[in-house]
Amino acid sequence: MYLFFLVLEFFLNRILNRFWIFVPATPATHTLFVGIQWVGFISMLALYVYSFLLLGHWGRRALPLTAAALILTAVDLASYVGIYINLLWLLPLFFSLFFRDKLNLAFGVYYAARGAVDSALGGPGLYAWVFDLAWALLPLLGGITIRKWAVLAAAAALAVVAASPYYMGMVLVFGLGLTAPLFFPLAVFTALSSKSRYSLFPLLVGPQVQLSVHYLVLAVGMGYVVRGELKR
Amino acid sequence: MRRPEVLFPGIALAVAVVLAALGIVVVTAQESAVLVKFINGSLPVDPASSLWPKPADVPLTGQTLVYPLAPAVENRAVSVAAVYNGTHIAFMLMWKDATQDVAMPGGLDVFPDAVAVQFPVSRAQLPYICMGTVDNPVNIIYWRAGVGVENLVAGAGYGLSPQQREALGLQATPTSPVELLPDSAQVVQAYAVYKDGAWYVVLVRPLGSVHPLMSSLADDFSAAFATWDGSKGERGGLKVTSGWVQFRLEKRITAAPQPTTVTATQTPATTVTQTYVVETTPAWAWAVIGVLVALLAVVAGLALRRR
Repeated sequence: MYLFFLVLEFFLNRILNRFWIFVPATPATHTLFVGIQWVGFISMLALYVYSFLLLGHWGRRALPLTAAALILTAVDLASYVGIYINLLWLLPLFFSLFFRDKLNLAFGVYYAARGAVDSALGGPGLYAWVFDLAWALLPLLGGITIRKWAVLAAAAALAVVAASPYYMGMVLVFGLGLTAPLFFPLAVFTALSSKSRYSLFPLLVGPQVQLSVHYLVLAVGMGYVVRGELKR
Repeated sequence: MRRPEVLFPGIALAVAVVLAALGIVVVTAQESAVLVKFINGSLPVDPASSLWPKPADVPLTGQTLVYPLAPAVENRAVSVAAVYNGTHIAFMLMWKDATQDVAMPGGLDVFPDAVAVQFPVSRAQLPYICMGTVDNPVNIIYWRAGVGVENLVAGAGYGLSPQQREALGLQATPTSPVELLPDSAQVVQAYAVYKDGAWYVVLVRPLGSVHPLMSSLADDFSAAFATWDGSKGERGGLKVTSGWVQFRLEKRITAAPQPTTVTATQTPATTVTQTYVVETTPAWAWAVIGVLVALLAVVAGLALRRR
C-alpha cells in the first residue's frame, strides 16, 4: 500500500493534474479535475504519515533513522516560518548506509548529489542531462531481468514522449529542460526490468525531487523493500 | 489487532483526509529557487555591477508548437540574477547569441533578438506555461533589441467583458491574446548591452503591482523565460522557453519602505481568475503541526509494534 500511495501521488498529484490543461473545460471535466486534485493531495499527505508510522513500527533499531527523519523534516518545515535550511536531500543517503544495498547506496548518493547541486547552484543548468541519464541507468545496478511488460511499458512511454517531448516535459514535471522526458522511456525500462523492487521508488519520484515527502519516501522505501514489506 | 499493512494505510489515509480538510500542508516544495538578493539602496542597472548575485542557469527548450520547429536538442540557456529593494526589483538576464540583431526604424528585414519574462498574475495556481489561459493569465515583460520594453498581459483578454476591459484600460475588444497594458502600467525600464557574443539585459520594475493584471513580486514568486535569436528567424511563437522557476526574496536586512501595491481601477483583480487558495490555518502553524503529526505517527507505529 505504501507504493500504491506513491503511484497515486505520481499519477494524480503530478501527471493528471498537469495533463488537465489539455482537457476541455466542462462542468464534468472540472468536477473530475477537482477530484483528481483532492485525491492526489490526500495521497501526498498520507505518504507523509505512513512514512513515520513505518519508522515507529521498525522499533528501537531504527531509532537513528527516525531521529534523522524527524530532525531533517522539522528543519525543512521551518521554511514555513521563513527559515530556509534545506538538508532533506541527505536523508536517502543516510538511510542507504543503514539498509546497505548496492542500489540503495547508488540512489542515496545520486539524490544527495542532486540535492547539493540544486541547493548550492540553483540546479545543474546545462548539465541536468548527466543527472537525468544517471537516474535512468542506475536501476541496472540492481541486476536486470528482461520482462515483456517492461519492454511494452517502455515502448508506450517512448511513443508518448516521441509524439511531443515538449508537452511531456510539461506533463511529467520532472524538472526543467528536455532530457528528463527524453530519458523517461529508458528509465521505465530499467526500473521495471531491475531485479530490485526499490527501483520503482526513484522512477516514480523522478530525477529531481519536487516535494519534501519524496525524500522521505525514497529513504523509508529502502527499509520497506529491504525488510520485505513490499512483497507482503 | 489487524496487521500493520491494513492498519497503517487506514491511519495514514484518515489523518491525511483530516489535514487536507483543514487545509494544512505538511509538505514543502523542493524545487531549487533563485534567491533575490536584498539591496538597501539603489538597484544596479549595469550588468557588470558587483551587486548582482551569482546568476542561475535556466535551460531553454525549443518550442514545438509553431512551424518551422527549432531543433529540440539545441543547448540554450539564460542566466538569471535578481535583486530588490523596498520599492523595485531588477533582473539581469544574460544569454549567448552569436549575432547582434537589432530592429531599425522602418526596417523590415531584421527580426530583433529579444527576451521575455513571464509571471503569474494570480498567486493561487501556476498558469499554463504557454502564456496562461483565460481564467489564469500571465503578466509578461517583453524586451526587443532596438524596440524597447513592454509590459504585457496574456490570456486574460477573452475572459473579460467589454465593460471590464475598459475599466482595466484595455481596448474594448481584444485583437490578440497578448495585449499591452495601459500606459499607467508601462513602468518597466530596460538597460541592454551586447558584448562578446552575449546579450546582457537588465529589467527593472516596481516590486508591487500597479495594475490588476500586473503581477506583484513583493513575496516569493514564479517566473518563466523565453529568448529569441533574430538571426535564426525567431519571432512571435518561434522561440526557446523555460519551465516555471521559483524565486525567493532574501529577508530584508534593514527596515525599508513597503512596496506600494496600487489597484488602479474599479474592477477587482478577482474578475480574471476563478482559482482561489483558502488558507484555514496560518502557514507557520503547518510547521508545528507537521512535526507533531510526524511524532504522533512514530509513537503510533511503535505502539502498534508492541501490541
